[in-house]
Amino acid sequence: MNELLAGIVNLHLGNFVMFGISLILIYLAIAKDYEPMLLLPIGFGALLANIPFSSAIGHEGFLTILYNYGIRTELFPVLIFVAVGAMIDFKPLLQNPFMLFFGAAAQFGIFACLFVAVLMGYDLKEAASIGIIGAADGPTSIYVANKFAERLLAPISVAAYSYMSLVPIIQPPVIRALTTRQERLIRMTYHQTAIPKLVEIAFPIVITLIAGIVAPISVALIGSLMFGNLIRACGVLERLSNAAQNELANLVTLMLGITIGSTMIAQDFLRADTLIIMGMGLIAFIFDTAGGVLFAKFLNLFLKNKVNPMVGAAGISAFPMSARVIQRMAKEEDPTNFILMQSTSANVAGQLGSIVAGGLLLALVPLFMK
Amino acid sequence: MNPEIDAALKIMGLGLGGVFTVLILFYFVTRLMIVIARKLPPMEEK
Repeated sequence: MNELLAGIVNLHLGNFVMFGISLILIYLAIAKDYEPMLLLPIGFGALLANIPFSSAIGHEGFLTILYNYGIRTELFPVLIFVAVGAMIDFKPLLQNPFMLFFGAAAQFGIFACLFVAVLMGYDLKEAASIGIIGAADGPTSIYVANKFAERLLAPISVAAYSYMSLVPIIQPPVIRALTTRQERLIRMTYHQTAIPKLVEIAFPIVITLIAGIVAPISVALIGSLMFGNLIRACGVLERLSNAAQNELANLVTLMLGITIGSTMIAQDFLRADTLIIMGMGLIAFIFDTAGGVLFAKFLNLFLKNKVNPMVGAAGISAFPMSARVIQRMAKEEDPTNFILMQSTSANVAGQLGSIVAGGLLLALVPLFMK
Repeated sequence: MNPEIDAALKIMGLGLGGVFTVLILFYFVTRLMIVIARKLPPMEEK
């Protein structure tokens, strides 16, 4: 009889709180359409993991097996990168490579957040893992957190994906606070130029070589992203490109989400750390946005053809959401102002910038650890 | 200064500087690739 009731008698307040959090994530995914492909599996994974004596986790639980073979080995984030690479079209960036600078400036939040985390008492590896939430790039966050601070993986993943879906809420007030209406009205001319096919093919290869030689530890990240992109760009592997964009992306996203959710166990998740990490993630996104906008304003001191500073904010990795937010804001100020292409270029640059930043953190932090 | 804070400041400087350096390198390499590719005969689309 006791065995039959074990599930009921072992329910604690923590389990109910986690059920509530799971249901909130599932609600946000279904009702609010906030990153549903990830928040729903994460929510359901958390639900499965918090049922007392759940057979889904533990030594023989399928979620623990998925975790050990998919996350701990870094296989899922790397496979996601192959899929993401196959989805990215670098043409807008190749047409406007100047936007690469915004992809660098908008990574400021990562490093600012790392510094704040150290001030709050986290060690360098944990601080770097918290800071990487500012990459606005789920797989990079998971990859870095898994290497540096496995115990913080669950809250970092949830924060990364939650804030990515909240970009339309987080970015506009920061941009408005840092720009004048005159600046938001700046028009940018766009010249569409044909990009030679050779460049589309050479780009992923050359970028992999440069990034890999500068930070060999980033090869898994950038290499898998660029492999996916080469499959797309080469023009002779349409079936593989489609498989990477659809079947691979869907399958790995599904398993990644539910596996991450399974790490949200009450005794590990319901801690002050989780709230702090959620708060720090917000700080990272705010600093990212501010970094991009302020850098654009700085460049405007020297440029003849001014840049709309809002475009700088699109240098984060949340693609294509951030570019759309910037275009919507530009349209609110002036319905005839069209800066979507420039924002998209900056947004694509942000995807490169976030991976480079992740790779550099992986290379730099161990050098400074005692 | 606390050594952790000192290290964090260094990582911040080197990290942000590193991201800019790598992306500036990407910028010049991309421009160079475009210039070279425009001088070569166009590839046949398959």
